Amino acid sequence: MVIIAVVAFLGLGFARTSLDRSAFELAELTRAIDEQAAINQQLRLEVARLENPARIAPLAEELGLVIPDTTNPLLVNLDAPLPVVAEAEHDGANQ
Amino acid sequence: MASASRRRLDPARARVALIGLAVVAAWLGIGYRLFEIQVVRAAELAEKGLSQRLVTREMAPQRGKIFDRNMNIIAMTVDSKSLFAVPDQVEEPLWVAQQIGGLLGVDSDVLFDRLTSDKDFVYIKRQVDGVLAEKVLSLDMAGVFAHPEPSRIYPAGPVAAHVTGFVNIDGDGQEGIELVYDEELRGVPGSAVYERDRAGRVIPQGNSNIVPAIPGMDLITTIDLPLQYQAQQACVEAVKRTSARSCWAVALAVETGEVLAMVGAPVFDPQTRQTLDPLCDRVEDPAACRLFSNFVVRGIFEPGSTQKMITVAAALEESEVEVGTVIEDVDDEFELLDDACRSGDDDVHGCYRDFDVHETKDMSVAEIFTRSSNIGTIKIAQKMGESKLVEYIQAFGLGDKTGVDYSVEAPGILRFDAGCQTCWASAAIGYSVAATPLQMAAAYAAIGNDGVWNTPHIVRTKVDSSGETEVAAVQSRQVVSPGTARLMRELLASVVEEGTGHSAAVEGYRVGGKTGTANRLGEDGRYTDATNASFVGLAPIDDPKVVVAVVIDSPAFEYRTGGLSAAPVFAEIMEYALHSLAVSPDGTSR
Repeated sequence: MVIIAVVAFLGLGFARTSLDRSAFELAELTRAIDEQAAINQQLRLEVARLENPARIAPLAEELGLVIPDTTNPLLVNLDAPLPVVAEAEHDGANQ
Repeated sequence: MASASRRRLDPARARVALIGLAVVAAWLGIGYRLFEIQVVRAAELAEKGLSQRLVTREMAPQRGKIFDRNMNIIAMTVDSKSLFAVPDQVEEPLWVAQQIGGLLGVDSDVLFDRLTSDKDFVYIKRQVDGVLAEKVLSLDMAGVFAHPEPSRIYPAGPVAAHVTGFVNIDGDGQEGIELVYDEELRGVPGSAVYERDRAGRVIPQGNSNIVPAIPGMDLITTIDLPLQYQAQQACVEAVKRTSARSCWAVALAVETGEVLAMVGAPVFDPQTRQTLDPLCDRVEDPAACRLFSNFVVRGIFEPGSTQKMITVAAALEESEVEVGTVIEDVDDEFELLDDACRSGDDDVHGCYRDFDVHETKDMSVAEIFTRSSNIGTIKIAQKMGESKLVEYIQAFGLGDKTGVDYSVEAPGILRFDAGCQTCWASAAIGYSVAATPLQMAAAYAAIGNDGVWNTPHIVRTKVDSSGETEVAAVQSRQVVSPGTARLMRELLASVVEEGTGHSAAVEGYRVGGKTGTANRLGEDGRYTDATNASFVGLAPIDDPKVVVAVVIDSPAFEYRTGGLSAAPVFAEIMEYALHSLAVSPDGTSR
């Protein structure tokens, strides 16, 4: 009976410390998640700033790019028959 | 002899007995105290201990983000730190002020005054970037601390300023979308109750109750950020080129009433609420350049000839005239009241003149509209009568708020004083009427939308933290018939192709619109030589997709008309809008 009581007492203590250890690990993980969320937030902000047209347009102009002043639409006739393309000659090395 | 010896106690046994009694008494005392603590006062002491360990912390909700129509972020909240000091604990305030002032860009004299004040708590700088805050804290100065505080950031800077508006230092919406949707954006605070030890560490398995904060809703707007930028640049350049006080422009999607762009110049930075335009330095009253107020929604102006679209559309709808109807004897001067033009005072009401001097002639309705004849338009309005004219002006949305989701919209003014004999004539040509650029754009959008007027709106969708969406409801009404709308579009096209609006033409597209040049009222209530130059138009004419309204306030004299100053800005904005929306050209070149 004494041995059983001692074993039970030790088991209870072990269980309790395990729970506490898990709780600390959980708190640490939560802290790590919050940290990553903050990093993610900063990265989204950085992306948004980089995508700002007020930043991009002057850089594009420096590189010699311009906004096209005409559009050249490419009209595709979906009802027209498909063009026939001659079969390519096979190269034996490719087989 | 034996009884005497029994009566005298052995001193040693007496001492033992006393000690024993004392020990028993001590144990009884301890037992009683234990009983008192563990039983009698158990609940009270447990509660007291818990109250010392329990911490309740409010969890601030994350304010919702604002996006453009393509999911570019134009407003978001980030975690930052606010640096503060406890003056009593600051050991060397002069040194601290110099060190921190340099790092944070704060005036060290101002900072020194704060650090030497008799207050318990002073802010050094709020909402500082986390990295910079850590740098300050790493100096390990006594009395200097930091606490977390969210900070609202506008990544697009001034580009979307007149759409988003801004918040104050506490994150409360003050203007624009931030104000109108403040309740949806701010979210619901949560709370965290937990036990902590003497060192402040959370006790695992202790009492805890966490009610998570509910983040604010995200808003997806109808704004096209690149178009917004191009439109703003066009306005900024126009202000420089024409030496104007300001330029305002709005672009709407014709079929839905979505606001694609809404800009003004001079511009301001929503982060700092400072205007960025160096041109403000040369204005006599720099305060006038603090144009945080959105003129597109809030500013009213007499629309001048752009109003004639409504007059002619009404007459066509009422079958009072047709496009080919000839109006006889159109003079370049007209007196509604006897001798109104002979008084020599241009402010005497009842005298109307055309912009161009011409001989009296017969003009068709089409020619009157294309040449923007004031006299001809008044004669058209005469056929309708005042009440019908007012009815259509109101039907097109003037004189009442459009209902756009923006802060403090102006309803505009319809001035029809009782007994006023000339108000109807003035209103027919865009005087005695005051409208916002947004109202004019929405009116023209109705012409592009087969006569259906839509409520302009800026927020398309609201998204809550669970991903549930709420789409904006749009109100519509039929103002004129599709047939009348189509006729008006052709008339508007003729203004660009043959009339005063040729500067509004866009390569590859058939554009229609109307110029407007209205003299501004001075502070004494008399008309001045300064003008509001405007152009409102839409494209492509056969199936309009975009309507743009541009108003330029007080351009230099050589740019005073809508055709000279506003029409080129319109063309620039419309061209970019049609290209970015991939609208097919309808084949007509300049």
